[in-house]
Order: sequence, then structure tokens, then C-alpha cells
Amino acid sequence: MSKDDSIEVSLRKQGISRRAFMKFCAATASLLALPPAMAAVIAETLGRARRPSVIYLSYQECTGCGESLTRSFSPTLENLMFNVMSLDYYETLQAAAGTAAEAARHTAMKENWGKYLLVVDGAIPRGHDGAYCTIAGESAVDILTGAAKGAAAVISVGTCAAFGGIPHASPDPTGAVPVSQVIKDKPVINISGCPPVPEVITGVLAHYLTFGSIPELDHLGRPKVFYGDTIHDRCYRRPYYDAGKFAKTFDDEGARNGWCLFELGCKGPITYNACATVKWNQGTSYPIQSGHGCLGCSEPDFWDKGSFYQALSTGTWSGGTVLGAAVVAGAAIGVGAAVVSRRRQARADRKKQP
Amino acid sequence: MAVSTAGEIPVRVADAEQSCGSGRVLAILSEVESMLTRLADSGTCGSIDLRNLLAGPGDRETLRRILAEGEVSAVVRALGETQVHETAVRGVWWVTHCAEDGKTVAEFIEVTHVPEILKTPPDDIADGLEVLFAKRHALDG
Ligand code: SF4
Ligand code: SF4
Repeated sequence: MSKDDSIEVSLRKQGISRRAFMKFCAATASLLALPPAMAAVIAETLGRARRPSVIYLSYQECTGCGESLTRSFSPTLENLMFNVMSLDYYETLQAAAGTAAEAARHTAMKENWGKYLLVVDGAIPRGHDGAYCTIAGESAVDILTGAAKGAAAVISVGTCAAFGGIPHASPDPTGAVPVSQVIKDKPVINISGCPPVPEVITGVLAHYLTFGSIPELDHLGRPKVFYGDTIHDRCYRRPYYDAGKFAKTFDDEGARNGWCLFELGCKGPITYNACATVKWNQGTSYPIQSGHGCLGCSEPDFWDKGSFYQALSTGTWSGGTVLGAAVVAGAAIGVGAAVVSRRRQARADRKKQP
Repeated sequence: MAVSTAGEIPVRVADAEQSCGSGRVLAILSEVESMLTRLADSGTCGSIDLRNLLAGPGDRETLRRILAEGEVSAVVRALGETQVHETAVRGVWWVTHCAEDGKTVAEFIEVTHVPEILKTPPDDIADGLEVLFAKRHALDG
């Protein structure tokens, strides 16, 4: 497979029929919440495009995000996704090690200067001049800064890269910061979540490959197509919330009847993510469907905001004091929390506009 | 109640009939009706992506039960199976794209005469010609 082949030519060389490619495009359009008719447009654009070089850097992370990425779609479609990109450097998956691996990164950067996608997972430790994370004698801060210079776009995968995540949690011994605090001269796309929903990661890559541009972002740099709604906005338990029917313990009658988990600490009303629609494990379920409240893992500082099992109305999360005032009972809670969440987003969006 | 094994945990499977999803299913049916009217009046095809619409447990089963099985079923084997069924509402097709391990990757209701995936694209016809040519060439020796 030559690097100069268009995506369509390289797929045909692998014996993938046009019909199979169209199926992949239909699945991609669905993932990006585009109208089904857009599958043909995706096929047209993706088919003509050259395979972009992707450089994937990992710093203070648990590899959960990489695990998530490699489980997006099922094996065949996932392979197809990897086939439409040229993953030139990724420590977790590459066979090369040591100087050979570093040489591969330098070569890919040189050959694709200004055009490659830079994907980063993990927070960046800045304490003690970056001494907490070095690779081949270079600090994470320096490698990231150098690699970002030639990148067409920078994508932070996971809450650690997007907002600092657990490495940044109190007492933050290494001075961990998100990618956006190191790279200031170009837009950084944040795909938050601990880990992010796999299809959201590939969806953002597919969007970039298809349209050649970064998707519309929210006030925290997250693609609106996946982070435009709260978990609560799309939660199937929502009618119970609006009716004021809440589980009080994990094994009471309400829990067994599938009532709302707000009082058990669900952070769905202020958490923007795609779990309620895209779901996990190839669309099987998501935490709330399995009986546990949302932890708010795609929001900044979710780790430091108090117990996962305390209701939002107790005021430990930002905006909680406003929510607290709305807590009377039943429907009052429902309407109050949702309105606060939407206003917060609308205010932030307004602020962002020039 | 004291629970000592996992099997004793009382689990009640959500009842599709009684789930809060009936509103969602009704909304989909009404969209299907508009699309089918357009197909009958002007030949315009339509498609509904079910990914974000069948959010509640039991929604899919309810919708499938209402639309029911029709006269035509087909399986397309391309990067995993795609199941194509015409429902009992003629002109309304249920298309499920699966990957090779059988997991669903996308699901649509198509309101059309024949779903696109069943038609052979021109590029594949060109490939077909090449294959046929090679087979004949091999026979000719
Ligand atoms: S509070 Fe949580 S469980 Fe309840 S409706 Fe909202 S997201 Fe769903
Ligand atoms: S439901 Fe909430 S905590 Fe769970 S993965 Fe989704 S955003 Fe994170």
C-alpha cells in the first residue's frame, strides 16, 4: 500500500469492494449524526483523500484511552479506520522501540510537516522543568511543543489530556496540565471522558478526514456533535426525573423500577458527553442503563468535586448552589437542574462568540 | 432481604410495553408515515438513522413488533453481514449493518423501492468484468 495512493485506491488494493466502503461510510455518517444521505458525500471525499499521517503521543495516562480507541467499532471496521490513516508513531502499538521508534517519529514529522494529525493522551507534567516524564532524554513538554509545531491539528484524547484529569487532581504532585496549556498557538480539540467513548474518538478523526477541518467546538474545546447535549438531556430515565420519581438506594423499589438516579449522585444533568446515545460496548448499554449514576468523567476536575454518590443538589459541583435552591421535590428538581445546565452552556457559548 | 449470591439479586427486566419509550416509537412511526406518503406521491426515498432514536430498553423490540416481518429478506456479506428486511409495511425496510463479529454498527429504516446496499455499484461491476475476463481466460488456457 503506497502512501501516495488515495484512500479509495488503497482500499481497493486490499480487496474491499465499493459496496463495503459504502457500508463503512453509512456507519460513519450515522456516528457523526449526519443525515443518512451524507454517506455518499463521505464516500466521495474520503475516497479521493490521501491517507493522513497520525502521530500519537502518550504521557501521564493509564492507556485506557488507547484501549478505548482500539475498540471503536468492531475489528473489521476498526481496521478500515486505521487503514484510512497512516499511524506513524504510537508507542503502545508500534513494533519499533528505542532509537528506531524516535527515528520513525522524526521521519513522519519531516515528511508530513504542516499536514499530520497530532493525537495526545495523558496530562503533561510541568513540575521540576518537566522532569517527571522524559522519553529518550527529552521532556514531555519539549516533545509535545516540537511535534505540535508541524501539526495540522492537535487532538487531546481523554480527560487527562483535555483537562488534566487524575494526574492534575489534588495534590497534583507533578504539576500536571492539559495539552491546551502547553499548546497555545493552534486550536486543540478536546475529546474528554475517562476514557472517551471509542466511537467519539474515531468519529472526530473521521470528521477531520472527511471535511478537512475541525468540527464545531463548545466552550471547552469539545466537538459539539458529541458533546452538545448533557447525559441528562438524552437519558431514557428522564421521564422519571421529570415526574419526581427517584431511587433512594441502589436496591430499593425505585432502583428496581428503573427510576432516576439523581439522588444517588448522578452527575448527568451537568455532564456533556455522548454516552446516552452512542453508548458503550458497541451500543450495548451505558452506566445509567446498568444502574449507576454518571460520574461526570468528561467534565474538568470531576475527580476533585466530592463524592460520586452525593446528589448534585448538595452543592459540591460548580453550579450546585444554584441547583440546591431548586431542590424541593420531584418535578421541581427536574426542571431546575436541566435549566441550569442549559443556561450554563448557552452563557459559555455566548462568551466564546466574537 | 439478605442476599448471599449474585443470582439472588432481584432484577426486573424492563417491560417493552410499559417502558417510557412508547412516545419515541410513536414519533418514529409518524416520520415513517410521512416518508411513505412522499414515496407513494413523488417517488422520493427517505431514511431514518435509528442510532440515537431507540434510546430506551425495549424501544427496538416494540418498533420491530409493530412493523413486523414482510416478504423480502436478504443478507449482504461485505465487511460483516448486513441484514435487509422488508417490513410488513411494504416499501419500509429495516437495514442492520453488522461488523464481522456480528456487532451492530449502524441501523436504518429505509423507505424506498430497493435499499441502496442491494444494488451493485458501477465500480464493483467493473471489478466483476475483470473477474469474469480472468475466469474465461483461465478456461481458454
Ligand atoms: S439525573 Fe441521571 S439518571 Fe436521572 S434522568 Fe438525569 S441523567 Fe438520567
Ligand atoms: S455516563 Fe458519565 S461518568 Fe459514565 S462514562 Fe459517561 S460521562 Fe463518564
